[in-house]
Amino acid sequence: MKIVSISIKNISLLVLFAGLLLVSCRDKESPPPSPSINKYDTISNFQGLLVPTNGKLKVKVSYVFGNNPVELNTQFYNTIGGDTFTISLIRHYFSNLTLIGEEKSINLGNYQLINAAEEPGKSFEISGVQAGVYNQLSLVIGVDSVRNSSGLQEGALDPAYGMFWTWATGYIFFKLEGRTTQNQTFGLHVGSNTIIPINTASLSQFKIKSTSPTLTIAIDLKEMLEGPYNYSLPKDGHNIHSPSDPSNNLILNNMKDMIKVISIEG
Amino acid sequence: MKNSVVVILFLSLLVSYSACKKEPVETKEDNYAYDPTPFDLKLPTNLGWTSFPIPSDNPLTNAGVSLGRKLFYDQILSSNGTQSCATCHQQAFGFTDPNQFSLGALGQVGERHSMPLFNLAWAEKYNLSGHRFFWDGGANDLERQALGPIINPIEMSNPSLVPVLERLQEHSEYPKLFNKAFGSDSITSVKLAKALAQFERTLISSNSPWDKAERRQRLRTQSEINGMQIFVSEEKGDCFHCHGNLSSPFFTDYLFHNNGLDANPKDPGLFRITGNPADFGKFKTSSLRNLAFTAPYMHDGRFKTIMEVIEFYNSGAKISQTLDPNIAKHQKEGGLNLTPQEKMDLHNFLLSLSDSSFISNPQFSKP
Repeated sequence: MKIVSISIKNISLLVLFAGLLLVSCRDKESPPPSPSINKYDTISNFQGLLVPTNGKLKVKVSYVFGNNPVELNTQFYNTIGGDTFTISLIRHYFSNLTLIGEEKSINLGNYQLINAAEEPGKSFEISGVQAGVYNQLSLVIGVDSVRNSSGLQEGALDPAYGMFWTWATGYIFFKLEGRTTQNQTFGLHVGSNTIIPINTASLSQFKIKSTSPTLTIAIDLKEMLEGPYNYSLPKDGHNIHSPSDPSNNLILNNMKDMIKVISIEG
Repeated sequence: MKNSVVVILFLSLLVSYSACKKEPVETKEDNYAYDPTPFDLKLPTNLGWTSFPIPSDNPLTNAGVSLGRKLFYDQILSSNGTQSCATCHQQAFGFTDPNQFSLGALGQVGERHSMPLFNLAWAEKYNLSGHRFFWDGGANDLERQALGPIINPIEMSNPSLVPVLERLQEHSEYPKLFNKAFGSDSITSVKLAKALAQFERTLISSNSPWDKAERRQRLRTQSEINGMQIFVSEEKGDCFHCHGNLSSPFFTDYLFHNNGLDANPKDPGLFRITGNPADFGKFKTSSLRNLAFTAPYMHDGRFKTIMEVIEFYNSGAKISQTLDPNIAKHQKEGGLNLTPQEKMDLHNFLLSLSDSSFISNPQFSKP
């Protein structure tokens, strides 16, 4: 009996000692967790897109012409400039996708070549999106002047994609091609080292918290031909194939208000 | 004992045989292994020569330069396999074409004279405008420039770079050579441009009689000295504003000027690229080196001889809105008004800038 009680005492002492040891060890290895684990988890009153931890953004692109969805080759579209046409090709760059918040904005760089005729070419993913609340998005429909004027690049900016002027400076930002009701083809290829079409879109109409949100962006081609300059194919040219064509700048100046975020899914 | 000796002998023979047999196979594979050994670029040492910038993503390597040289001379780059870069850029003519206008792969006639190729890389140092190569500044680095003629419809006339890359990729040796130069056998437009640009950066011409005189290896003739004074005199030749002063060994400012060829230029020149009316009729200043080999002269090859060019500056420049002020100021007196002897002296000075070792350098010839 006596022996047993001693051994129990010993055991409990041992356990206590071991426990103390463990605690002290843990104290050394990791400091007590800070009271606020992630401040974005505690914010309930936010507008826009909340990314709680490093996340991944998926962007889907769709095309509209004013209020109508764009269907290649079949649908006719009218402009204030007086043209009626079908659209056969839409290819363009997206770059410098930037998420803008009240505390910070992050430029995700990200050069993408978008081809309206290919489903896989109409969406892309960007990882490494920092935690934050974002209520605005901006992007360049085209390529910034740094990348546009220096060196050759692989990936989406590979000149083999044919979105590159080898006898002038830089990239073709946007190719819009089609056929008018007068059965005349047109090809508007525009790009510039000085006029960079930066587009911004609001996110504050949404309230989405997600580490992997999917944004759907609508691009309005009507803006390209109507706002502020009303482009006319017979007057301003059915074809633009050089950045020094004066009509090139008319279109590029129109390309600053083309995007709208139509949905965010968490 | 006897047996074991025989066995050992046999074994050692086997070993040495297999070693012998293996060796050539290994070296053949090694020939195409990625090899970033830097190219030993020998920059001239005369006063005034400086180093030039090399893009950090395209350092000169032995494998890259030699691949670029092979590509430069290979007709595989043209749509129908009839033309290489060297068709219109012939070493014997300072890497230009002796014809006023070159013919394209399909026989198309060009609109500008083929440009001579030498000392190109310094343009990337002395011209910071972003418009550097081609007569009209349509490319701002050698990599981009290299792709232009390949898909120009009136030159090599490929519809795009894609078929060119496919032909190279299907070739028996090119994928291996690209691997050797860039560490991957997948041939891209960027690697193609990089290799051609590497070779072009090595085309340095620095051994003319003028250079030798600078290095005290020969004496200038009295006529050359007189011509040199006319070259640097603002009242006489006034050549130096665009073609560099005598402490610059390039004989070009690498910039763009309207030198008064036409009152109403047909070819808009730099304006085509910038869209700026002040650039109308401006073309890249040619280097005065190697004039003995690079006729005809000007962007449209309109002058057949050096003397015709001198006569033009002496009395023929046309006034227009964008005419270079350093040429315009002489028009009040109807031009430079050089005497026949002064023209001859200037001519002799200009000829002393021609480097015959450059056009025969085996490093630059067809491999």
